Amino acid sequence: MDETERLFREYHAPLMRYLTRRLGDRDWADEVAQETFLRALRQPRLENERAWLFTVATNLVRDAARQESRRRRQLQLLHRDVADETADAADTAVIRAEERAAARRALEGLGERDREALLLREEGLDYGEIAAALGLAAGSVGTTLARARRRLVELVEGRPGGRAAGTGA
Amino acid sequence: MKHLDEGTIHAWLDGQLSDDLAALVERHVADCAECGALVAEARGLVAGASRILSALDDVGGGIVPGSGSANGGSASGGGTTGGGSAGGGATAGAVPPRGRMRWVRPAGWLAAAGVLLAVGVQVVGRDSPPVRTEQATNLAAPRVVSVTPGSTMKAEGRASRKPVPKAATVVASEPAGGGTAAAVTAQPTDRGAAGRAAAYSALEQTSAAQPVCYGAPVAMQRAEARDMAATAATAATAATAARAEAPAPFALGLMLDTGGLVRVQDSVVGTWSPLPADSVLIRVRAVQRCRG
Repeated sequence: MDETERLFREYHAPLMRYLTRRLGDRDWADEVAQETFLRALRQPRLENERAWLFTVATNLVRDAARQESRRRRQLQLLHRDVADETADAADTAVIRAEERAAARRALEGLGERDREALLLREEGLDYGEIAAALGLAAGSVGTTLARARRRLVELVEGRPGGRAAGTGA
Repeated sequence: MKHLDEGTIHAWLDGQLSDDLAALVERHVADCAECGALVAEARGLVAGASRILSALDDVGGGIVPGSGSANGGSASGGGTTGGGSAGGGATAGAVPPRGRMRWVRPAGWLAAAGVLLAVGVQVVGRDSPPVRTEQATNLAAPRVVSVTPGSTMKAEGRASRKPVPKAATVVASEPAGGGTAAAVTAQPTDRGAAGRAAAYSALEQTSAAQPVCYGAPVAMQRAEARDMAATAATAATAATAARAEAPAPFALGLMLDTGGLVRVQDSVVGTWSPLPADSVLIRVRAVQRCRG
């Protein structure tokens, strides 16, 4: 197994999960993942390959997300899709579709940095890697994640607002 | 030690604090009920956020705008496509068909009754009993439109993958197993080819002149169906004439009755009857923007 294959086998699944959660579309995620790996192949050497891959993927997503029309289109389609699924599917599928839609809405309701930090952490990146990927100070990752998690849960559960973060150290 | 801030608690729960700091936090939490409560809450938030995010894994694809060229470019990446979308714990089997299909869902067709689109032609050899389309709701509207020989087979692959609701149908057949249905069978003879060309030509003229409008009043569409049938009969006659030994006259026409049954019109007597078992169908979809 050569280096390229090893890289792909080791990181494709977590990268796809991260991108799918971030983008809400498997095809789009696959497209970005492929571009990420293509860029990795052009690198003579990667210091921290996991951090590098997720950082590149995050930047690619950011570039794409800046195209507002594309994003709006995505959200419109997601909304329509949920409506279709709700109308057509059995109860279990409807519940899953509703959960998925709620999760998507909540995730989109987070700030970009909070959203990315949360998704990167879910893929196992440590605070140093997250800080490097997002340009944060390492000491602020915990606060970012705390805010993101709280906000995400509140949005899904329909609880408005939230408590102030932290009570001081 | 002061009370813990939320960021520190999450960092601790994530195992991201140094050993020394983690030990301090642990001791403090053991002694401080308020921070203990915060830790318990933070544990819930960590678990809750993970649960919520896991719901996002069950998604399909196909909403990448303009992905035709984009995917093509990515695919050229060679080896990186091998894994496909295996990752992410997808449960694709539970997801309804998506991709470009979503653009042509039946509900969409009905809702868009005044604004249609389309493209696609399909030729289907038939050897089965009369055709009944799936739903009666759409049946009153005969759907036919353009037939373009050159585009016929090219369009088939794509069109057949989509859940195209009730494709349009033009029928050309011979009543009693008399060899070829001259207008459209794939008989590889010169005469057969000439017949097909003639039939296509006539049908094309018809459809160009009288495209059927989805969503138009039923009465109007029925009238158009009769017109179509008449012209289709002309096409069939032309095809038959191209054969040296033209056999029995063949019935040709088109109508979807209110019960959803496809009926053909006898070109001589003019009566409508169920589709013969050995008919050959040309299924057509076409694009059109309807008035109103």
